[in-house]
Amino acid sequence: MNDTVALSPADMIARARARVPRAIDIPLRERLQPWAIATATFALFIACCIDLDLGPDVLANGIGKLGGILAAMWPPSAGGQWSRLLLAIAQTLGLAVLGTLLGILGALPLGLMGARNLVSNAAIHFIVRRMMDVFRGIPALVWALILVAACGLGPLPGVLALAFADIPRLGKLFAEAIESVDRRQRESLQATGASGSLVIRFGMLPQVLPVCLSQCLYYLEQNFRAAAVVGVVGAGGIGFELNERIRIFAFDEVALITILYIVIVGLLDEVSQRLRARLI
Amino acid sequence: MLEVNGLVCRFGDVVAVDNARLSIAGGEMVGVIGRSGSGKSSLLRLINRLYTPQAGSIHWQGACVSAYTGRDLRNWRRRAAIIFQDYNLIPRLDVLTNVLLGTLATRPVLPSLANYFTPELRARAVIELDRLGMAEAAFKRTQYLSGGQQQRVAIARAMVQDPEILLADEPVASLDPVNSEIVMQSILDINRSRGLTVLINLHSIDIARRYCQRIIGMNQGRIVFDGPVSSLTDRAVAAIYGVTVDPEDASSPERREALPIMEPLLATPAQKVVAR
Amino acid sequence: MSVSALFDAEDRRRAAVFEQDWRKRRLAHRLQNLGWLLLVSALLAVSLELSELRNSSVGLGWGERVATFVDRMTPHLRADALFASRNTDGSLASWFYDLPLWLVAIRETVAMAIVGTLVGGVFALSLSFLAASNLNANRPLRVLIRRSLDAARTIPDVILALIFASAFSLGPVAGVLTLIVSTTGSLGKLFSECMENARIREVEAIAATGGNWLLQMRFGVIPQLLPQLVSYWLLRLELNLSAAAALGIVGAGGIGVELQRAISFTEFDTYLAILLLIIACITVIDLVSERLRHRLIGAMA
Ligand SMILES: Nc1ncnc2c1ncn2[C@@H]1O[C@H](COP(=O)(O)OP(=O)(O)OP(=O)(O)O)[C@@H](O)[C@H]1O
Ligand SMILES: [Mg+2]
Repeated sequence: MNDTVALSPADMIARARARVPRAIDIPLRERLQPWAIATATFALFIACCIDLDLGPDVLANGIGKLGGILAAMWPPSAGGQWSRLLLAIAQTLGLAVLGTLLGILGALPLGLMGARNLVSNAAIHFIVRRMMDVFRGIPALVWALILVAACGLGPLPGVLALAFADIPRLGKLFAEAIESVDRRQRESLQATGASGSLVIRFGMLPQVLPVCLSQCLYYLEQNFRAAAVVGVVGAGGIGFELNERIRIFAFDEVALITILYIVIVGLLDEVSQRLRARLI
Repeated sequence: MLEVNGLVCRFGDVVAVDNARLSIAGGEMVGVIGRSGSGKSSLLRLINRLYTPQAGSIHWQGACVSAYTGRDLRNWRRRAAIIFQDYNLIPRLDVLTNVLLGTLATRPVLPSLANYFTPELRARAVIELDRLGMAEAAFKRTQYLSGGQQQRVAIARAMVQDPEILLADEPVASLDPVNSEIVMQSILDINRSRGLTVLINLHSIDIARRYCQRIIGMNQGRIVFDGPVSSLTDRAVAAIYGVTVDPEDASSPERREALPIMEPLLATPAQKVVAR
Repeated sequence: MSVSALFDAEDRRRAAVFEQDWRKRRLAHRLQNLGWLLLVSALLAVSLELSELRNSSVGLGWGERVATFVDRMTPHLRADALFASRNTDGSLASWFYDLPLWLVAIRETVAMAIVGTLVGGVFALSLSFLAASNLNANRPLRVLIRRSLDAARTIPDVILALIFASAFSLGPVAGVLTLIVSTTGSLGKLFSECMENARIREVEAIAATGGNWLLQMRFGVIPQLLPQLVSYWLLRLELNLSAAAALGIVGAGGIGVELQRAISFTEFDTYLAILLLIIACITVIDLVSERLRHRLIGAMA
């Protein structure tokens, strides 16, 4: 029925080779390239595993213990300390709120300075942006460690750590939000003879504010997680409680706190999503 | 020999295909016409088994293909090759690889996953492309081809499937007249030279009349017309499309010349001329 | 003719109604703003109270404390001895006194990030096909996978690291496992969202030629989403690098361990040195990955 079937494979290949040589005799380089990439990736992976002493025996050994830990998590228990746990969660929320607010306050001037359409001085703009890029990579936990050493245990280093970690990230977002403002709106206001501050108030704020607010809500949510993390190195709250219980192998309580935590994050996520949907 | 009996396909409340019954002999070229939403695409997809019928049966050479599952089903899909209005090629891959994707069902999965195809398969793909005048473009990305070229690549992909029946879902609806002509001619050639059964959805009655031997008309999921092209009178066309035409006017033989004026009215907005 | 004569009684009535309406709206708007203000300040007050910030040691010799701290953090470099050997006080080498060791630790951190992102990426990719509603019709399985991804993303990585450390003992293995879990969670969600927006036609085309589910994913989904998937993956690699550095602080291997050590020996200038090293490393990776991303996407588009 199909006349290609009538041709012998060798004939077919000869015919195709005559027509489009490269389809049959694929250049060696092209043929090797995928294998080379795959081999290189695999070699990198193996080298990293060797460097980390990550072998099957280590994994097998640990997975057995992990199974024991997971078994110990059931049934979750509060260890009779419900009120303390709830207070810790509330405290973590408080840390997150304060950290975010402080972060916003710090990020605002940086955002304004980093926006090309507000600050015409290229040097300022460049330096501010670069600084924000550099500090963006430092996680809250790294800040928390040094701040705890500086100000002692307690919530203050936690709040500061969250704020320091947020400032460059939020600053960059603010700057980008301001830069993406529609120029026409601003110019039409300028054309009416409005002063600089009026242009910002009516030409830019209405466009920038919803975007920034929604980013702030997102960061509040993220900071709830980060607040739990900085708690581990001594900023109190839920992280502290979890750390303590993991160290004494009270995994049933760990399970309960984790579940509680996941539920709260879920709620927060829901609320912030609704609010953000309304803002934009 | 394709036999379809009491075929029903519903989507929620919509009955896309309603109790369809038809029988097609080997080597026929059959056009399917009907207004938009009448269930033409659904019929083809049911035959290829991209859709599963709620009732009825499909038989090919006596075997009940509507009962196939797993490997048999995939093999049936290979045997009943389908080409689409929007070509459905993979834009990021080159023409040759796109054509080679037609061979997936007949070979082990692992080499395919690694995108490895034997020289023999590649030779077949080149030969099929060459027949459609597309061999030169073998290493171009499909996204850079014109609509007519893309549809020819899609036909080549269908051909390397080594199909027993070719289903074509409005293959020329997105093409300009010149490209439509080339693509329709390629399909006709395949039908003639390989004796392949072809079932083809068409928006243009004119094209249906010129290329098909037999026409099936659908309206609201039902097959309302089935006969040789000579019996497709204007009255029949009007009935298929649910347009009422002045009876004495429509029966008069001179009306045939007037029909092209009617055609834009009958065609759906989806039909557009793409000039590239 | 006075101006008022231009308007009849009906006009004036309409104007009054308009003004009333406008006043009402303005009031509502102001009340709303006030409400927000009250809510935020209440939140603030409660947060201040809950976080016990007020009773912390603010004010007790505060300025002095910061001053000594800053003093101890800045390295005491001497211009004349800047390039002298490690044993000379005030040289760069004595500030970065353990540089070879730190570089090894950084290598470990990078290795953690690479393994975590590679393995997590593979897991995320495999699971995301099953978590996308257009690609997996099996609802219970889909919901199960989605919930697991959510959980993996929600639990803070440091907590995971502590749990893994109690099973695998302190060290990089616990860190790698943590990164794998959190990467699977976050990339899995991003990937599956990408996939839900994928064009289904290409998948259908592969199905129509008789390709099985795996092949449909391989040729129908992956080629069309490749640039997005790769750029998310590279972004995640960057994030994981700083996460890996931070995880060391709780003992999960890498450069973070050195940070923690510097703090516990109150070598704050050493801390600064290591921090600079980390920043340099992150910046380099940032630049490389941005280049790579642009090149890859340019090559693939
Ligand atoms: N996958 C699907 N899901 C839901 N409804 C569908 C689906 N496929 C088709 N339908 C519905 O079935 C009916 C028939 O559609 P079908 O695509 O078969 O018509 P058609 O004749 O091919 O129309 P057109 O000429 O516009 O392509 C339509 O009402 C359509 O909305
Ligand atoms: Mg259709």
